[in-house]
Amino acid sequence: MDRTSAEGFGRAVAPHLGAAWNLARWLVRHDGDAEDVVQEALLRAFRSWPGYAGGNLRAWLLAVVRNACFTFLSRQRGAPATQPLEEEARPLPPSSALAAPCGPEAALLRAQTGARIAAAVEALPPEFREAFLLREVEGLSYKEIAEAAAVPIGTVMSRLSRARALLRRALGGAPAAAEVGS
Amino acid sequence: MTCAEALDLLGPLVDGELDLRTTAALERHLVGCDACAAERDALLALREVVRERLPLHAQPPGLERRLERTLRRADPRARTAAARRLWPAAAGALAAAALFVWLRPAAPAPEEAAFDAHLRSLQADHLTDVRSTDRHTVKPWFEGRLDFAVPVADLSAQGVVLEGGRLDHLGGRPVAALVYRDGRHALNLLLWPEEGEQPLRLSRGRGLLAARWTSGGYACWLVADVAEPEFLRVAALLRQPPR
Repeated sequence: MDRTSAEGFGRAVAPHLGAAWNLARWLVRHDGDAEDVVQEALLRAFRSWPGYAGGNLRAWLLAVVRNACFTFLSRQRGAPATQPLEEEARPLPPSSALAAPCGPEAALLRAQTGARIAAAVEALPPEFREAFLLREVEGLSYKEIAEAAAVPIGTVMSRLSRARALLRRALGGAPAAAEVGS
Repeated sequence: MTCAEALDLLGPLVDGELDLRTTAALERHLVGCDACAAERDALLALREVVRERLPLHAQPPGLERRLERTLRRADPRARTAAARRLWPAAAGALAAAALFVWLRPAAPAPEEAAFDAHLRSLQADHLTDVRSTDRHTVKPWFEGRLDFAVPVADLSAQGVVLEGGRLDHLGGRPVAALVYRDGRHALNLLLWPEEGEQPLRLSRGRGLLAARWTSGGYACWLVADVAEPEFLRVAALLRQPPR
């Protein structure tokens, strides 16, 4: 693999640009910002390309993109990127706090429109949205998500669990799991 | 296994992250516990609707070209060559040609053709060949004009009114164009037969929104100048018409 030229880099990453754009656009939620972030991410990826250790190239590129997104988001919030995340400050209630759901939840969920699902995903806190998209849209494993976000696998699991609980609540079916016990 | 333990493992179960032994133990619990089984079903339903219906963002037109420029500026070899002024024009042209090979899609972005069709239909005052709000008039009109049957959804109960249909072309292929009206806005639905299932992908450009999907034996493009939430609502209705 050509590891020195923009051409070799471009050939390698071209198949993943669509995924890079989709992730950035979902995370920063604005076309112009997504464009800046993707430009910045691709430039960073190109600079670290000679040191790319192999493995899942798509996961590697998406990790660079998510880092650029969170740098952007923390600048926008005016907070340092290392600020402790919300879910670490507030412990997750045990999943057993999820009461037995009433029967028709699966049916209620299946009746949702794309627009409502999109709005619910947009409303997730960014760290949860990221874990959820990397899992459900990009099909990354817990380990790959953990490496991309530089957090333990347990954190990935709790983010996914809370993302799903929030989505289920927003989409009408679920018990308010994220609030139970707090 | 207790319910508390089982509930903690349901996410990893649907994500395929459990080892075989734990999976087997969990499955045994689920057979005997309706509450936990319903919880798993809800997680599976959530996954299913997200995979089927969450619209993905398609990259904007020209993104590759702009990335290409950024990377070309960052390529140390390109910079060195430029600094040495070795046939600067030719070197630049070569670098540009090489870069274009990898980033440029083979054909113009497909949404461009859909945008063109939409704008053409408005500008040329050629929105419809057959003008009718009755799908039983519009559907048979296409017979003999196209070699496929055209499904025409009735969304009048949802506030989206059929206005008519016309023949159009997309990427050199004859397609059916159905025109709907949502308030003041005309929506063009372009469709042709195509096997397989493709999730909805959203594109933007020239002040328009376009959505592409493949479902139920047809590939579809919906194009309109409508606010995004409303656009997505109509796209979802057209993708899975209410019965």
